[in-house]
Amino acid sequence: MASDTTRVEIFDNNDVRNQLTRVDFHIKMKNEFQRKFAVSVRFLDENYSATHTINLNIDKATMVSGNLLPVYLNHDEQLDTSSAVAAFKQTRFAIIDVTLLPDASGVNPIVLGDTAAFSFQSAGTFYFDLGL
Amino acid sequence: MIKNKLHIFFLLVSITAFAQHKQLLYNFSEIPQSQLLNPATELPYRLHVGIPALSGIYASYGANNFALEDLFIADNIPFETKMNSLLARTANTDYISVNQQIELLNIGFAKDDETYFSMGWYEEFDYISYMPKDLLDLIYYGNHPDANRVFKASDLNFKMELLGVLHFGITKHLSDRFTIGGRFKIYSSVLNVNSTHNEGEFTTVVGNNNIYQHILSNADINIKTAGFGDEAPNVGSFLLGGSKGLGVDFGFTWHPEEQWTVTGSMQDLGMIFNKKDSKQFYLKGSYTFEGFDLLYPGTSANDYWQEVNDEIDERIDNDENDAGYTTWRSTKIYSSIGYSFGKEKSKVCNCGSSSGDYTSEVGFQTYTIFRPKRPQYALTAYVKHTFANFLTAKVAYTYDEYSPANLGLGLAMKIGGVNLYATMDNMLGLQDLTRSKGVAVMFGINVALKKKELY
Repeated sequence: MASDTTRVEIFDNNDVRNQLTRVDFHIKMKNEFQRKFAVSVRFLDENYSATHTINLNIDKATMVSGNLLPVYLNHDEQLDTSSAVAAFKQTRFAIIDVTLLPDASGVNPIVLGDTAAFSFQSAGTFYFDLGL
Repeated sequence: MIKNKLHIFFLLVSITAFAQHKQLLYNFSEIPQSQLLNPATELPYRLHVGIPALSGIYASYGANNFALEDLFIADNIPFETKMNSLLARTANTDYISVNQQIELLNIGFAKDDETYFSMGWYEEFDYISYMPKDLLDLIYYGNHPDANRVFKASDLNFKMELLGVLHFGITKHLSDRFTIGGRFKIYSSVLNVNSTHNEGEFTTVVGNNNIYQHILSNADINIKTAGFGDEAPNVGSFLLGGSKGLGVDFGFTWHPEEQWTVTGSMQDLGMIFNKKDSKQFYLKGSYTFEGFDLLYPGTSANDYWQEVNDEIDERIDNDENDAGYTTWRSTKIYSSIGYSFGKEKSKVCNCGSSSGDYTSEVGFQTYTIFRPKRPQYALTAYVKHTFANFLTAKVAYTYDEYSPANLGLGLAMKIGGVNLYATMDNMLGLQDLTRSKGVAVMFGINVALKKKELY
């Protein structure tokens, strides 16, 4: 499993915190490995308690007639209830875990020098009520 | 290779405004303050003294493409719909302006039949802000639905100044037909905020390695301020206590024929050297941000976050300093042509004017003011009439950017040695201020004496 922690500083600003009304998450993944991956995006508050979690699994790529067919995954998710947004405003860290799932067949091991790639792209759209 | 990218949209928040066209006062020689617009105005007086702080009070507001009712009238149309409509028709050349003046002192006297001296001191507040169309759109709509749209920093363009003006003017009759005048001004700027030469663009495009890519290119944004020190402004601040500046007015009055009058003037050709408590805030540079780009293994997100911060600091110079700066005043140019007729008034001023001796006058005036983005213009047609030698009225119809139907009325009354006057602009708009895009009022009291009243 690969994991990393990112500071989320946008909510250090009081105006941003007070006026946020909705958050849309957009995630795109591409898997060229012939193995499944599990991706977990965890947003945490200062006490490392989860404010929101996104769990996704992406299927493995397949080899067809000698050609590798990657798997694509697009995921959109919306936070628009007041309780969900209120919790999300407490976010201070984001942790992204990428886990290589076991392959029961054992026929597709990832070996050193494998040129396949796994890409993860994300965007967040934040909506604010400016009080107009 | 595993790529981990976190991308966050962000909003740039920017808050960022005039009308000092005195078409009713211009060339209204029965009012001594008309010499402040054209120092060559031929006053019919030998002496005038303004009542301190009451001789000239002026206030104006103008927005060329916006009225309060656009957003706030109760008509069952959702606010969001009104806001969308307003933003759709707003251009970055639209503006809001406010101007206000209070005359604290105004004295004038004739040295002889040819020369008239005038001097005084007034306070002025002036504010203009162009509508920052791109920034308003960015704030209201965000950058998400506008991928590939270019938001220009140059839309941020505004200036505000609060100052005191000491002035001394001379009006000289060169002949029965030609008068020239000049006024020297010393400005004392109390407060100044200025942000008028911003450059750069912000764009969000579809990214190569992430969903979106944010591009800040060639940003050169600055906000300059002066006068915002620990010490609160006081009367002395308006009397040489602020940042100093110098300026001049000059003009002429010419009677090519006995009943014809041609005038022209330039007002506030000057600059202020903003040095008192000056500050300059600036942001310069370019940066493209596409989100995090972590390589596993070996790079921690915290390390990368710090690297991104360091890189932004390196490429975008965002700082402040105490350097002074120079600002130009908004120079105004007036011109007019008028024809006098009617009964001849009794000659009382020996001022060389031949046209002023008639009870009625009709004519046209033009007005230009030089503003940060572009000059603004106005054209006025007027009728002036003197009733019973003590009450003069001027009705003016002005076409300008605030209104195609600006009807104004000016009255000057002389009772004994007391001169009372009032002007009111855009009278049709006064019926409902929420629908008005501009309004200006002025009034004042002077002691003004003609020759026969002195001798």
